[in-house]
Amino acid sequence: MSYVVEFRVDRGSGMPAYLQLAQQVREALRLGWLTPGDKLPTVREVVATSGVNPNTVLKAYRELEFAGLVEARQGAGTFVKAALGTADRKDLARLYDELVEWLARARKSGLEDEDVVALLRTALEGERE
Amino acid sequence: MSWLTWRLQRSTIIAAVALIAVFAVVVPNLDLSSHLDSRAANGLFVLGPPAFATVVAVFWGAPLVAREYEHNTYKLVWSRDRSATRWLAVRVGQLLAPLVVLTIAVNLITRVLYDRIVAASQYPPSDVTPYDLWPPLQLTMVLAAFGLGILAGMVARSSVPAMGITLVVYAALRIGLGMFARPYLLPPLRYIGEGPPDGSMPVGFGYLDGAGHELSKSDAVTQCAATSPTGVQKCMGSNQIVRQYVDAQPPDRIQDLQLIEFGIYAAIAAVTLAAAWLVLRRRMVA
Amino acid sequence: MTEGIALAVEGLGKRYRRKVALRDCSFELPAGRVSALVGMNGAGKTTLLSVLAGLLPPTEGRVRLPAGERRIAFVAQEKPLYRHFSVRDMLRLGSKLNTVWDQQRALDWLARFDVPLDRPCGKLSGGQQAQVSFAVAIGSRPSVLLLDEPLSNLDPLARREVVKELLSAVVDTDMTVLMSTHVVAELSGVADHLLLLGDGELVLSGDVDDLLAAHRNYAGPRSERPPVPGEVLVASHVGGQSTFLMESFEPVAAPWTARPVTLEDLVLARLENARAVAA
Repeated sequence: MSYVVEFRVDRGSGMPAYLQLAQQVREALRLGWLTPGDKLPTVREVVATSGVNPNTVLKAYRELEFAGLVEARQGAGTFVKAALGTADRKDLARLYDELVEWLARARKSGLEDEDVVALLRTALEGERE
Repeated sequence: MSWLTWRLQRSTIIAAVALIAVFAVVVPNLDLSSHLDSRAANGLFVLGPPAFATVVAVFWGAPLVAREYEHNTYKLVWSRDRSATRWLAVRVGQLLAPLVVLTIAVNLITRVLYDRIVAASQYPPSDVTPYDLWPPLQLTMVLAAFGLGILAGMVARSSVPAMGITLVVYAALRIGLGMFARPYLLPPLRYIGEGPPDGSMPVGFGYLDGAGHELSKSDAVTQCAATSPTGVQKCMGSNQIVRQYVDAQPPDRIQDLQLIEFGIYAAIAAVTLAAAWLVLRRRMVA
Repeated sequence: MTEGIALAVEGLGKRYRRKVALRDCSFELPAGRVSALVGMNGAGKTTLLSVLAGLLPPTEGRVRLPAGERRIAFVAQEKPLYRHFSVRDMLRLGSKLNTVWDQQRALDWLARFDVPLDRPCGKLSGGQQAQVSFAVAIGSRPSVLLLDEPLSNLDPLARREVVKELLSAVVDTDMTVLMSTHVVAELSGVADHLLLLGDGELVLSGDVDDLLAAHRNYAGPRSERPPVPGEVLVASHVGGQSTFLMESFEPVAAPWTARPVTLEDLVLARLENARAVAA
């Protein structure tokens, strides 16, 4: 089954468009939305649905192939080869639900998006030290 | 004619055909015994063919290239692989056939009209066909009109100014050449004391003194008054002291004149079309 | 996608009677790619496209096309059509004028944008007229498609759809596209190659990703000198802070930070720089 990733390019970002696309696939892999064996949409499909330059899509797929995450099978398409992240899908789903709950509490305390991100970054940095 | 030429030009072609059809219907139905109709017939005879040529110049020739520039459609139909000069050559080439056919139609209808006018006239019929009705001349007059219009459109790059320029220049050409220059295309012959033969094209007349010098009318009168015993009136007409002359082109020269005028119009047609082609080529190719 | 050069330009210049419109432009269009021709109004974009389309002779230099398949289609900014032709007539015109004609592709394009086939072009909306122009160009299956401000008279929704269809056609037919615009924001994610024109001169050309990767925005404490070696395109000093937009990808030590630049930043900086050098 082919999973249609909703690709989008943030025009205000300085990150090259192909890296943005590659990152979106990585995120989908990390979150378990894409698993090994899944087929990525064809270049034609990505172009038709999201209006992204075909060479950009190709470049993103090449980048992912180079990283060993996907493989191009002659005539068949591009398939996910490796998973990213270690947690299984059930764990991810539970953690996601908890995060949503936590987010609701954060909102109640008056936190905005930037506050949430800052808090998360601080926590990550604190963990590292 | 290709579909494209027809699609681009059909309104002008249809309009020209419709005008000629009206002409063809009107001519046999004129009642030449009526004073009004006979004046209309003479008007049609004099103005019909030049009007057709002018319509060709203004409505077929002038917009041919000008309209492409005006609406920027040249950017659509000309390109690196489809040269503008070829486009022009194809359009002109494909419009030539309908132009020739329509000109012949105008010529035939005008001849019918001429015959009717002659038949209704009290004067004995002349066996000289009217000058302009010689088909090769009439055809080159139309082709020159077409070429002039195209060149004007090429230069003006906008329809209405191109049509205005074409109208003025072509009218000036026809009037200048037809009414003023025509009798002098060959040096006229001078007939002294006798009239030119029937069917001649008159050029001018005047007076000469005994030595053969041209005299103005007042000088002629003075000379007669000074020397003639028989009175001024008689002296002027008697060809003794003062002689009368008539300059004219005799009938056997008419065809040469037509041929020269044919050459002039053919040259104008060739030069204007070639110039339009060259201007376009210079404009499009380095 | 085919690698190679779709079109090359060498030392191209165009002088009008009073004004120099193009000066010594040399570049190559990579085949199968979507290149953007960017510049302010009056920078010479239309002149360059007209020369490439063969509608205007260059004063100097030349345009080289590879041998073999080399059909160029040009959609002018005015999107000219014969106003008294029906849309169907316009397609027929396309089929007559071009050695190769893909009627289905042209029809698909018109159907995609709900353009009625039997209406005279003069009675269509501006947006629909643009779609007819695109359909005729796409139907001719060009190897190189030149578009002059293609999105300028379209509403925002139609812009997105036209971009999608154009890029899909690039995938399907391997054509090379060069489109001009003065709105840089339209380009990110659409074009992968950039030609930047400033006052008739080529200021910058190259792969968009490479260009973005080769530039950085450096911010740090107020300083007259940039923190890393490289060409400074824009320097600004506000309060205690200095920022430098530079051609450099060197990492930098705290307290300086390096951020990637957006295409818009880069284009504006390069144009401003070119103008300052010329002045």
